[in-house]
Amino acid sequence: MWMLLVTAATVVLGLTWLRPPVCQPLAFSHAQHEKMACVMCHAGVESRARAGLPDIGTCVRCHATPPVKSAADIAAWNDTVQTRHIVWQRLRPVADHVYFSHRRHVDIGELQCATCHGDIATLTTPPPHALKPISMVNCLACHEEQHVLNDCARCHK
Amino acid sequence: MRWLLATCVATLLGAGCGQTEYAPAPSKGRIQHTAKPLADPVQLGQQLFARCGCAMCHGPDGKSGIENLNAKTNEKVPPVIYVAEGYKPDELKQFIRRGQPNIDKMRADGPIPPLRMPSYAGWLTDAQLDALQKYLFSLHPVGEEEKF
Repeated sequence: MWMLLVTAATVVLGLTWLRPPVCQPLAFSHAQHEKMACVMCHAGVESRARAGLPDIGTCVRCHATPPVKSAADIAAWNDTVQTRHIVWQRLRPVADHVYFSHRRHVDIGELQCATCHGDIATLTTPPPHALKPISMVNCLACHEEQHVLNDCARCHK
Repeated sequence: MRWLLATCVATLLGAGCGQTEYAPAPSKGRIQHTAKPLADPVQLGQQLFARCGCAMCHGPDGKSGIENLNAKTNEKVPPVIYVAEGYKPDELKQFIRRGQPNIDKMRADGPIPPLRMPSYAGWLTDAQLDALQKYLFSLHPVGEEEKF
């Protein structure tokens, strides 16, 4: 039995950490923006289930010109401005049958973003992997620690 | 033991699982979360000043802004501690709502200043704008005049 469980845990860790690295379309620095609230770019993080990812309209609220230096980054910025949409790649896809609400965790639960996302606010370039593994084990452990109900239907549709 | 079993289930079910100027987009968010409800509008305004990103450009205490190449305001984002001299309360709130999409240049033939003041229309409620205005007015140094 123990062998089975250890194997399962290894598989989970492997699936979490051995995903191919994610390459983002823009060289965004969270560290440059960490002094302002996450909601300024992730507009739904305090009020909706989905935190949301910023489109170029969010960036150009403050940036009148490309906030990057290399020719490749400027070209990527200009391309994005043309399409008005940034094709961000998800670091941690959540299965369709899982319901996760940012509002419940950030606004009601008053969790810090770093609790689940790690020290992403300190990074100067987009990370290729999620900084902390997401797993049902971690969710359940945190719910137990915080004395929040752990019934299946709370998160599973 | 239950956690490890849950791990197996999670594995099976959830795995895999230049010089161009641009027009800013309309606001779509809303600042509503505050760490603690604050009754004092100046304290609330101070919190909003940090959360909304004002402090990033105008400085943590509003005294000195960061570099803004070729901006008429001494190539920096201007300080905000003197706004009480130049604005009435309603004027300042209107300015924050509207923002300043085009920053005046120091040299007409120079580059576009890279940073601009975003519009906060749709982001801040009237009460929040009121608090922010009160905080900004509270920053005015007693007996000191603006330097530029």
